[in-house]
Amino acid sequence: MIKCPKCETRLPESTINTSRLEACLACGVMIRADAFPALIRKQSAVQTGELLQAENEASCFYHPKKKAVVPCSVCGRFLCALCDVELDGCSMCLTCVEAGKNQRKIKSLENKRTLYDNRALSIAVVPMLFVYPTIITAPIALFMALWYWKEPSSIIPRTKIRFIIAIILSLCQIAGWLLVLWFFIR
Amino acid sequence: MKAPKEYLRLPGKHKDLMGNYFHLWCARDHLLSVSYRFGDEYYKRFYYKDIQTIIIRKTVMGKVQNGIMGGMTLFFGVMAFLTGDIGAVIFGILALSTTILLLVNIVLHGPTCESHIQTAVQKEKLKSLKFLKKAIKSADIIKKHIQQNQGVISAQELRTAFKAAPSSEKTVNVDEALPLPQHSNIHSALFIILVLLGLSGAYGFFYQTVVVSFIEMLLCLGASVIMVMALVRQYQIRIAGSIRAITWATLGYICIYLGCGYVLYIFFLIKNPTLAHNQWKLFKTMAALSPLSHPLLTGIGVFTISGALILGIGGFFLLRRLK
Repeated sequence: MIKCPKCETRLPESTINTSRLEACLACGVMIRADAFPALIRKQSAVQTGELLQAENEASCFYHPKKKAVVPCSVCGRFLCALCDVELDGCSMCLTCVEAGKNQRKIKSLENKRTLYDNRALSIAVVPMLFVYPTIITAPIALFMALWYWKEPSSIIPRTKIRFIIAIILSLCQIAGWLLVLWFFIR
Repeated sequence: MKAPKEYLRLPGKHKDLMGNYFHLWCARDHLLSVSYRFGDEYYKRFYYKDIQTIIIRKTVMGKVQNGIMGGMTLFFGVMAFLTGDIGAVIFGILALSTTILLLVNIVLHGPTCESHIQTAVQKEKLKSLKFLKKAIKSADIIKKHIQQNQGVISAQELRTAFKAAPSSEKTVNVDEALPLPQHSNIHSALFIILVLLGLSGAYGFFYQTVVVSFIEMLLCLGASVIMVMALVRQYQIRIAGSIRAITWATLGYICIYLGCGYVLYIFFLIKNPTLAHNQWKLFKTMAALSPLSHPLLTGIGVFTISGALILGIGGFFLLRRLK
């Protein structure tokens, strides 16, 4: 059931779903606890797959002795209940799920993304504090911003403004260094 | 027509000292917890159909932060008043900055909290929800999404489920529970002594006499003894978390107070070795020292006075309010 996060004592039902802060009867901290039907829902039994009853029945691609219940919506292989992975309303086999995760084709499986726009901006901004490193970092930031322009960014809404600022700053830094060089040669 | 956004941002964000950044987003069928670390974003999904509970626990962190900030403001303010020229400007700017931070903390952020989300197989802390106002606002939005997905749990269903739950877990009966928070006389005494210590320190700051120094020393010893008793006592009774925190802060304060006193004593002995054999004379000479004679002494003086008054008055008012 629901426990107080501080003292681990079970909270009484009178303190749950009140939509306001209630004191934990054991430790006195103020808690708001919202419970939902999933708390009392019984867990469904794990599907292990039914064995083949007759020879003319379709079998699972991965478990030939088990009865196929659904085809994989990506590769079309027949799957038993054990191999069937339901994702975003589609049935998939584990191989396609893994391939989809590795190739970033299934968005809901992605758990990490590199934000190249932030990296390019950091490379363009931070060395400005020390001035001289910008002779090396400005071209790196510019290259990074252009190279990764089309790379998928965050999965949450995000604009290209960081890339744009990084490009502008690095161009300014490069122009500054070229100007210094020009004065030096003259 | 513009298509609806896939993710909608929830109120609340948290940035830690390492530059890590946490925020929450709501999607059609799941809640997305995003954490940013050194140019990479990490995602954790909580599907509405799986969420069992959302728990928000109020913490005393905000009060502690405000107390520290208030103490610093007072300290910088007094230092700005006591020092001249550039010192006054620097301390004045510092005092102003801490005042602004304090006001922002009080007015915009409010009390702090810890938020957890629980599913059948995990209990995760939502780091972005650390301020109570925003946590409640976010919890209300998440609650709506979950209720659209799962429906509403009735009081009857909840009661039945609680009755059927295994009784091996640690529980507290409503009838058996003691009224909260419980009052403690030891804590009252501690806060009164702290206020007295602050007042005597303030008096001694301007008028140095042996009697005041002696009273101050006695009060400090008294506060140390009572503080230990209060720390033991608060483990035996149910007392508000804020009072607990202030008592622990008092332990820190007294340690610093005694540490500073000891350092001064040793420093004074090194400077005046002839007084080492006559403790009474040494005490009288030390008592006659003006805190305004040296910036270090002024700093220690301001810290001890403001610390004792903040902890004492704060604790006393909290106790009165809870009573």
